[in-house]
Amino acid sequence: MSTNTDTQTTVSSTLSQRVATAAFGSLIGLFLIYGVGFAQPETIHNAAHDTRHAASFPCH
Amino acid sequence: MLQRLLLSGVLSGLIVGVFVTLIHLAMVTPIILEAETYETKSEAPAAAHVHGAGTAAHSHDTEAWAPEDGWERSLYTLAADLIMGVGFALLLAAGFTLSGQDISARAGVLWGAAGYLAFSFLPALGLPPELPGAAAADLAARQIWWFGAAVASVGGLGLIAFGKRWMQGAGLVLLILPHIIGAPHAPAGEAGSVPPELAAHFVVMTMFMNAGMWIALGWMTAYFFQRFAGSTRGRIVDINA
Repeated sequence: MSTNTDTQTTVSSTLSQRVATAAFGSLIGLFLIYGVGFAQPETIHNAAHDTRHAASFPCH
Repeated sequence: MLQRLLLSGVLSGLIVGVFVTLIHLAMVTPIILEAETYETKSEAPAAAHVHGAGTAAHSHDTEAWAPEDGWERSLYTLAADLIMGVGFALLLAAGFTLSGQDISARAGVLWGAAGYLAFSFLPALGLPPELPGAAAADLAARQIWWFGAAVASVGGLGLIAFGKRWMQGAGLVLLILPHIIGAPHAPAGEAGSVPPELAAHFVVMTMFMNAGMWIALGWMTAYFFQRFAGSTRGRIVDINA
């Protein structure tokens, strides 16, 4: 019995689960990329300077 | 599922980031340092750094903190490369998750190539990698265009790879659109302080580094993504048994 319901929830929630998981994962990824490549504060800019130039993010 | 995404992204990003830093320090940083000697030489008349209108808030205070050249600067480059590696690897792992497919390491290389196109090569067609001291348009405008070009390229490549026939046409349009809009460039006639020979070499070196990074990221992230598949797949198998 319980086995059956488990299988059903796994299958039926798969797509929405995938979308939610992927959305959450890419948000973290984008946050990191933003910090390294785009954030404006001068200190962050200077610390990540060479990486910004090397990754061809617009820098100065 | 989230654990699988995060683990494979973080592990692959950190490992690849270390190797990327080696290429970075050996092949790219020396050109940046050489370019900076031209930049400081011509900084006296304050014309070296060409900014478009509206960048008044952007200052190049010599007093702002910056890592010391040498070990300190290299360590910050390592840190930034690691963070960038993890960030891009998480995007790849998110793509794997969304696709719902088992991604072989070989398929991962293809994903990596797509990442290279979307986040490096295609945006660089509009905004080629710049050395310090290069003439350029307003920073915010370039950042917005770059981000828009990357997003459009991801969407375009995604539609071409996974869409039905008519969607593939739309994907192609999406790929081209940012380039029809056009990237913001420095006003005609403005030139930076860097010799063109050095700038040309820099572009090739960075494109090499980024291609290597993305291929390695695709391969490594797919490897770990497969390795950690057991945690979710195993449970379903157990239930059915």
